[in-house]
Amino acid sequence: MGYGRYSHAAHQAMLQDRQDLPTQQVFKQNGCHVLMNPKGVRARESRDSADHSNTLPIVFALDVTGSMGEIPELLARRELPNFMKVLTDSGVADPQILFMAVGDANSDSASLQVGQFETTAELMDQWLTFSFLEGGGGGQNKETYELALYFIAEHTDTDAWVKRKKRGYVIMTGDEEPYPSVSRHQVEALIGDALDEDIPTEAVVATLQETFEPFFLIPNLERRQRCERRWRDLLGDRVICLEGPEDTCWAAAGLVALTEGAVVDLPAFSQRLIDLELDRKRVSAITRALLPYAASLGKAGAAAAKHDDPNAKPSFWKRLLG
Amino acid sequence: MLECPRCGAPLPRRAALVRLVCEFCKNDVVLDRFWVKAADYRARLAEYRGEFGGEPSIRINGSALQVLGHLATGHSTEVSLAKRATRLSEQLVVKRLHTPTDEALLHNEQRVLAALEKSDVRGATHFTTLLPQRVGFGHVEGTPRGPLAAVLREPAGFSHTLAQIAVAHGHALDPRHAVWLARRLLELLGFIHRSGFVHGALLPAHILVDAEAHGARLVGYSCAGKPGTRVQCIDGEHATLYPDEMLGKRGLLPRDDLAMLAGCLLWATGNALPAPLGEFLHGLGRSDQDDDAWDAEVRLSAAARQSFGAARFVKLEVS
Repeated sequence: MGYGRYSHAAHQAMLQDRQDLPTQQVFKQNGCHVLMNPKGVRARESRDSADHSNTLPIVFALDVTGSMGEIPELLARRELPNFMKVLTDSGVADPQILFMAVGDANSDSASLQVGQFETTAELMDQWLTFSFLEGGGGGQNKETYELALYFIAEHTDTDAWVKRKKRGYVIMTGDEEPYPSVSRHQVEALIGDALDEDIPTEAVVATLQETFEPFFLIPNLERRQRCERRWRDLLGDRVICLEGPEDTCWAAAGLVALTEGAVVDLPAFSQRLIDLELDRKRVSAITRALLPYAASLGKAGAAAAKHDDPNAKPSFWKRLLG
Repeated sequence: MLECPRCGAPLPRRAALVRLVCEFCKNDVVLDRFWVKAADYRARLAEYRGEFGGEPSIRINGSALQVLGHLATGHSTEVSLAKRATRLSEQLVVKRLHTPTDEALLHNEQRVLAALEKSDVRGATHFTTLLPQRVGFGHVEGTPRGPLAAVLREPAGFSHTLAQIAVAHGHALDPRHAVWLARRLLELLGFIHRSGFVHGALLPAHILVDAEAHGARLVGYSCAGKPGTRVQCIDGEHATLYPDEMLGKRGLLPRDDLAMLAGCLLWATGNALPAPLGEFLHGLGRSDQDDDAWDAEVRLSAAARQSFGAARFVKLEVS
């Protein structure tokens, strides 16, 4: 999968028509779409093509339980074109997006749904809106995020890695902890693989990070205490505590752009958002959320800048904060 | 390990995903059942934990950490910058005790932070992000056992203490900076006090500053306690910053934090302040009624307006 060209204008136009539609008319599924059922899937493939010779696989693994359904909606109504625009404007050449929907296999009927890697706006949107927003969840402060991580580690095949040893990206959203291990029974039932034992979630992450750069985005500060520490034990500084779910796409674009070196540093990325006329309060919030990860890369920028030059431009923060 | 069904040669993991040619027997290979061994995952986990370049410097609670450098020497602890010794790493700060006799202080800090993390007073969602973020706690592993240590997240951007900034400015910090520093810290203190604690050691070295974003937060909660409890330790270097009554029988009160904050700012600015701001700081935390940090912030705003006019952003230079 992954053929065709991306058009930002077409993508925005597509979303324009659904601004006032109720959720049920945007996300029409009332069960797992047959094409997103992971059972028996051998591999989701991200392939280079004549149009896209340098593909960059990006997986959006979206928590669709009760407390988290707003993010898929935001993506489908407004935000996904922004993510693509920031990436393509930053020079990230050939992003290919795969959408997954994640719930809790202990309580949900469609706890793992998997689309395909796509390059065109129409097909990205198709898989996103094929997702069934079940709105379930277990009520035990855990969802089966580890199943999604296992699927990505075990059932994706990307030219980026095979041909160029280049990692893809996993942007997972959520507000709960993962279970301590991948259940072999759940894997057998949902995916069809035969595991000889349960696999510790740490081992799944260790395997996943060989071929992907994983990130976990918590949608707001209220929910960070439920799960932040556990995810940090797994992913370290790649846990991003947002100040609002509407920042998801912008922050995700920043993570990819910073890691790819498509922007020099965090202030340069924030300036890009200002240039796109994003509200400055949101730019500040996104900048704060990304700062620890940017600092871990040595790309915090302004905070590390020297002030030797008296004729230097005013600091980034001054311009930002007024 | 996947094997070629024709010749038994080992196959790469991709053989489970796609048709490929066995490099040994040159036959096309298509595996028909997806068998996964947990042992392969465990092996990769062991490899992941061991692949970090260089020996980890220390282990605490089983976590391997690489100490990157010295940050500060505190009253009872040695503070170092560190990171988790894995590829998906985390920037950390490690506080190691100088002497076992101070273990109670570090335990106290953990208790206070744990309680503040659970606070549900107004603004807790925001203010809990300004607390030191606990990661681990335990003795440095080894033979013999190393000192008790607290592992915290590194607060990105907060790269200077007020003590360092005051020194860099020759103890003549522009008083306009005292205004936003006081504002940020009064906001935070209001949260701490409403949550039922007094910091108890509000010293220049315990005030972390993000010069670029005009942020400030507190560290060093070892001496924190409930109002009325006795002060657990005194930093001799800054003994004059502690209010006398606080050191006497009455124990800690919220206004002691306000008085110590004022003392820190007067120390950093060299007491060279416009009259309204000077009066505010000299009076802060000095009366029986002055126990509410958020009320004090309102008075600060008035004093700042009288001193400097309308608020505006002034860049804090830190060399």
